[in-house]
This record gives sequence, C-alpha cells and structure tokens, in this order.
Amino acid sequence: MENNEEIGKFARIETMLKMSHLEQYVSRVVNCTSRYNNSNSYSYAPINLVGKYVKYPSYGDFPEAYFLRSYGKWWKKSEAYQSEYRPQDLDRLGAEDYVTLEFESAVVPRDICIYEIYNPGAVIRIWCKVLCPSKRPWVLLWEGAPQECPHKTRKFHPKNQLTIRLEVNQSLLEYHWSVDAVLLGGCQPSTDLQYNMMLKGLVGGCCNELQKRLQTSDVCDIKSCNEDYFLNLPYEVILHIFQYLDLKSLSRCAQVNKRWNQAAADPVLYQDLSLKTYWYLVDCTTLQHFMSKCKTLKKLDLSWCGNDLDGFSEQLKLFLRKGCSTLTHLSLGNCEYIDIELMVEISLCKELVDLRLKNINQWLQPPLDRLTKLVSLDVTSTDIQDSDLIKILKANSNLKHIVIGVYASLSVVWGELLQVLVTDLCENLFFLDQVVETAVTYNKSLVSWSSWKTLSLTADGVRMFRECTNLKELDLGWCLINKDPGDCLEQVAGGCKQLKRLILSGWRGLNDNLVMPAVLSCKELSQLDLLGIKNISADVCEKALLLLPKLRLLDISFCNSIPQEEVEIWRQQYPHITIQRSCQYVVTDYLN
Amino acid sequence: MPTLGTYKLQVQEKLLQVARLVNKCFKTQMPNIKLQSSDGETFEVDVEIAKCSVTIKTMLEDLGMDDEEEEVVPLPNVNSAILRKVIQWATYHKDDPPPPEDDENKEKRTDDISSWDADFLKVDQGTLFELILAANYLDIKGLLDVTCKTVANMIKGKAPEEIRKTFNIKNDFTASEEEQVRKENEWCEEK
Repeated sequence: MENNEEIGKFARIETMLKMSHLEQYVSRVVNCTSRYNNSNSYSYAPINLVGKYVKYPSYGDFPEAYFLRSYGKWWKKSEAYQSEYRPQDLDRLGAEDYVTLEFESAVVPRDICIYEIYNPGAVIRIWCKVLCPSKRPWVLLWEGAPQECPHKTRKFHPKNQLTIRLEVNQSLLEYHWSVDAVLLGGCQPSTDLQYNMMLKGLVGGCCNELQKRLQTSDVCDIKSCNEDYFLNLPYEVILHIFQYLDLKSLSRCAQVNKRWNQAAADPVLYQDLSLKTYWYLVDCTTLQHFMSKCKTLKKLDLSWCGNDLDGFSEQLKLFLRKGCSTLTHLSLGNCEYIDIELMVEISLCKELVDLRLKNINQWLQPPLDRLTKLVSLDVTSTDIQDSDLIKILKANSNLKHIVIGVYASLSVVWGELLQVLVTDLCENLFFLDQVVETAVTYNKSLVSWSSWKTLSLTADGVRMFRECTNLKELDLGWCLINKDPGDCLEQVAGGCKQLKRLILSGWRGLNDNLVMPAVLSCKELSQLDLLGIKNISADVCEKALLLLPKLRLLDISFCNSIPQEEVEIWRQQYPHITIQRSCQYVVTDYLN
Repeated sequence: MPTLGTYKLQVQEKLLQVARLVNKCFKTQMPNIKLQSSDGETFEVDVEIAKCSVTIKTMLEDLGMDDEEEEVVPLPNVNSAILRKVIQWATYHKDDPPPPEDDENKEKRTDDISSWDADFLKVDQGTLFELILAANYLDIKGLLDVTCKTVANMIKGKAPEEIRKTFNIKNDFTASEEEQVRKENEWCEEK
C-alpha cells in the first residue's frame, strides 16, 4: 500500500462515523468530448462504461468498451487541428478530452479503479464533483503525467461523490485508448445525520492534503536580491515579458504593485483569450473580469467552460456583443448551454474566420449564414442540418476546413475561401451529397473535409470531390459502410493529387482494384486508413508501402485478408511507417 | 594529341580559375568593425555579427560606414562586461534563421529555451536585466526574447508576495487597495 497516510485517514472517518463501505460501477455517462461512434451505436460507445467490466482482463480492441476517436500525435498534424489560441495557457499535462461519469450513490471517495483494456496510460486527472454547495464544485482527486505503458490491461488504481470526470491526454498512445469500466469505492453514509454532514462538506475533505502538496511544490529558487531592476525597465519591455505569461500569472502580477498592476491590465495582453485550461475555475465573475480587460478581442476559446452555471450564458452573450466587431476565432466546444440566442450573437461576429462548435446539443437553425468570412468550420457531433450547412457554404465561399463528423479543426488561414469543414458524427445530415455539391461549386479551394460517420454520403457525392484540386485531407471514415463505392475513389484520385490524408475506414465495398488508383496517383499521401476493409489483400498494401514515399501511417486493423505474418515483415522492412493492426488477447480463465 | 600550345593554354586557364577562387575567398571574408562600450573599451567584431543588432545595422547603413575606413561605433548605453556577453551571444547565434516578420502568430511559449541559452543566462539578476536593456537598445530581437522569457519563467507560478521577494519589489498598495486588487483577481486562486 503506497498511501498509508491517506488510507489511515479514511479508516478513521469510517470508524468515527461508522459509515459502510460501498463499491459501485458507473451508472450513467453524463457527457464526453470525444467518441468513436454515432449516438445510436453501442460499439465503442461511451455507454459501455456503464456497469461492470465485460472484457477485462482481456486486452485489445473490443467494441464492448469505450473508445476515443484520436490517439498519438497524428491528429495534431492535420490541417484541421485547432492550434491553441493562447499557447501561454496550454495545460501543462496536455488535457485533450474528458468523460464525465455518474455513480448512483453518493459516497466519500476512497479509491477509484479504471479498467483500461487497450493502450493504457492516457488518464492525467481525476476530478470529483462535490455535493455540498460550493463556488467551485470540482475537486481534483488525482493528477499525473500521461504514460507510455506496456501493452497489457491495466487496473489503474490511484489512491485517494457522485460525479467523476476523467481528463485524458492520448498523445503518447500508439493506438486507441479503451476503457471497459470504472469502479468507485467509498464510504456511504448510513444515517440521515451522516448524509447531511456529507452534503454540508463536513466529511470528505480527503483531498486537502493532496491539494496542499500540489500548491507548495512550485515554491523554489527564491533568491532575494537587493535591487528592484524592474524600475529601470521601460514599460514596453515589461509588456514584452508579460506577453509570455499565462492568464493566472498575469492576475498575480496585477497584485504586486501599482506599476505592475497597470502593465498587467494592458489590453495588448488580452487580445487572445483561452480559458479552457481553467474550466473548473471559470464562472460569471471570471468572464466579467476578462471582459473589462479585453478591448480588442481577437480569439476566444471557452470550450469546456460554464456548464451548470447560472447566468453564464447571459454573461457570454454580453462578452460576444462587446467583442463582435473584432473577434476572428471562436471555439465553444462542449458548451452545453449554447442556445439559439447565443447562436444569434455568434452570427453577428462578422469577422469570424474560425468557428468551432463541437458537441453542441441544441441546434435550431441558427443564422450562421450571416457569417461570410469563415475559413474553417467545425460542427462535430451537432444536430446541424443539410440546409444550414448549404447556406453556410454558399455564404462563405472561403471555407478551408470542414469538420462535420466526429472530428474537426483548422489553423492555417490563407486564401479568401472557406477551406476547412468538419462535420463528423452529425446525425441530422440526411443529404450529404447535396452538401458536397454545394461545397465543390462554391468552395473550390477546400483543403480539408471531414465527415467521419456521416452516413448519408454516397459514391456520387464522393465522386464530386475530384473538383477540389487543392484538397489535402479527406476523412470519409464509415461514410460508405454498406454502399457500392463504384469508381468514386478513382475519380477522387484523378482530381485530388495533393491528398495527404485519406480515411476510408469501414468502406466494406472496396477491394484492391478500387483502392489502387489512389496509391498510384496520390504521391503525397502520408496517412492512409483502410480499417475494416475485409476484401483488400496484402498486394495493395505492399504497393502503398513501396510506392508512396511520404507514407507514415497505414491503418489496416480488421483487414482480415491480410495475414499477420505479412504485417510483421512490413514492420521490419518499413520501420519509418507506423502500421496499425489492432489485436485481441482474450483471457477467459479469470476468477472474478 | 594536344599540341604544347593548347596544353599551355589549358594550364593558364586553370591557374586563372584558382586565382579567381582565391580572390573570391578574400573578398567574402567579412570585414571587422569596432564597437566601443560606455567605459571606453573597444571590441573588434565581424560586421555580419554586429548587424544582428538592428540599431548598429541602421547606423552603418545611414552613415555609409561600409567602406574600409576604420570607424568606431560608440555604444554609450552598454558597458564592456555586457557588450562582451552580447557579442558572445550574437557570435553563437550568427547562423540562426532570421526571426519571422509577423508578430501575430509568434509562439509565446517559454519552455523552448535552448540549453546553450539557458546556460548563457545563468547569471545574477543585475546582469540579466542589463542584458535585457542592452538587447532592447541594440534592437536584437532574439536576445530580447530569450532574456524576457527567462524573467517570465521566474514569475510563473508564484504568488504576489513571492514575486515581490524574488525581485525585491516594494508593495506600494495601501491595505484597502491591496484587498481590492486581490478581490479583482480572485478567479485564479484554487481556494
């Protein structure tokens, strides 16, 4: 037992209050920022986190567990990847996604067990939402850097109420992270008195020690000196130093003295604002605080912020209204409170070039076609409808990246046309072919298109992409799952010679002959995803490995016609290329 | 068979080529200029290295000091100890690519200081701040960036009182003012 002190404390609480110990699995998944599949599917879905594990201690890629969409650093290389609006405020552990879990009975948490069954190592923080009324309801239970772990199942068991949030960073993983179940153990109140004490926060202060340790660890190398050298620095040099500071540090600088207070309030420092890293600290007063500082707001990222807070949406409305004439970048991922009124405010930010609205639940035909300068649009996992999207495409003949499906993003802004569109996992797009037709007519400079798991696309729609000769990334994973692809890939390969990233997961109708044109024509390809295509053989893969000089990632998981021995040989032969092949090691004789 | 005459011609031509090459080498060898510190010490520096200072570069261009004349550039705001450090830094970084023009997308991270720079800047606070002032006056962007990042790293993660201690800064707030700014900035405190 590594953590005797903490356990001792729990034991004390237990004996003092005679609480009963309770172990429980997840009862509901409240929300998540990333998922592999549409909401109507059970494979790899978040719902698999509910209840006891079903595959553990088996290791591997099992659809009965929860999967995230991204892994490793491949997604960060995408044209559609959202670069941080304020790199000074990057999370030091690099949180990329989270999943929030609910347990049936409130307990004072004692330990938590995460059953990772594929590529473990992504959990970097465990948060818990306290029941007692608190200005800051989220309490950090545990944190640690992402890890590279051996390829075997892991019962992740960091020692330590009802709602738990796991923050993850997948960047060190070789392939998808997968979790089978989460077990929470803790002390359950057995009398009304105990329950009331818990509600008032009188028990369950178990995290204070940990937090204290976290806070004091930074105090180091304070050498006193005899002179205040800042007095000699010109104001603009002080600003030059301050521009490197994160928002938290700036707020502390403001409290040092009057001159620092003035410099730390300079609007130049607050053109780009990203509060995502501080989601657990942000409330209405935080927004007010920054509203008074931002005079010419250009980029605003409030992803993950403001959920379950009264009045936050009103405050955000005021903020947007104030910044609407200058705002160019806006990211509001997982802001569940966004309603039509807020959408109207967004649509009035006429200068927007980059708009990211991932995982927004309410989508009532907002007038986003009032925006005309969009270069990049990400509406992953929203209820956007075909007509909305077509209007936006027509209004923004500059869109560069489009993410409609499960995924999305862009960073580079060039040209005067919409270039990025991400519409992953959008379940209300019933006529994606028409959307493609509009895109190729109005947005010929399209660079990145992503519509992962957007199922209404057909081979006719895909064929039209040949018009987009600037296209570098085409993510059509699972779009043509049970449809005949015909010659559509040949057409695309003929037109889009610059393709770097091509995702065709789950196109079951493909075979060697249909894939070959892409291998022969698209010499720039660096990522090729053929996951789940049962009819392709080792031949076409061998050609791809041999003929595509820039290839770095080839996904052939579940391509059952390709023998594993062949894959092993290729891995030796082409060490610079990552060849993905998921595995399943089933363990049956396990005593539960 | 080549005649003796053609052979001679060939040799002559080769010699000429060699002469041209040698000449070229001499021409591209960079001339030195002299920089004079505030306390009167002069430093002979390669012109190209000195030109990483925009201030010196403009001075040379404006005054047309490109010729062979042995001009001395006076730098009344930089003492010899600091100037020596600045020249050391500029010499090490002479082959760096020019900094990107647009300030807009410039990386604002502070964890990218090279180990050479980090070692170079292991100096007392007085020297560090004099280097900042010199980099600012001489307009050497790379040096200004890396010194300012170093100071930023000394500020990061510290509470106001720790910052005051680190830099010996006097708190000139009254008690009530201090309470007010503390309240204004309360959002960032965990508790």
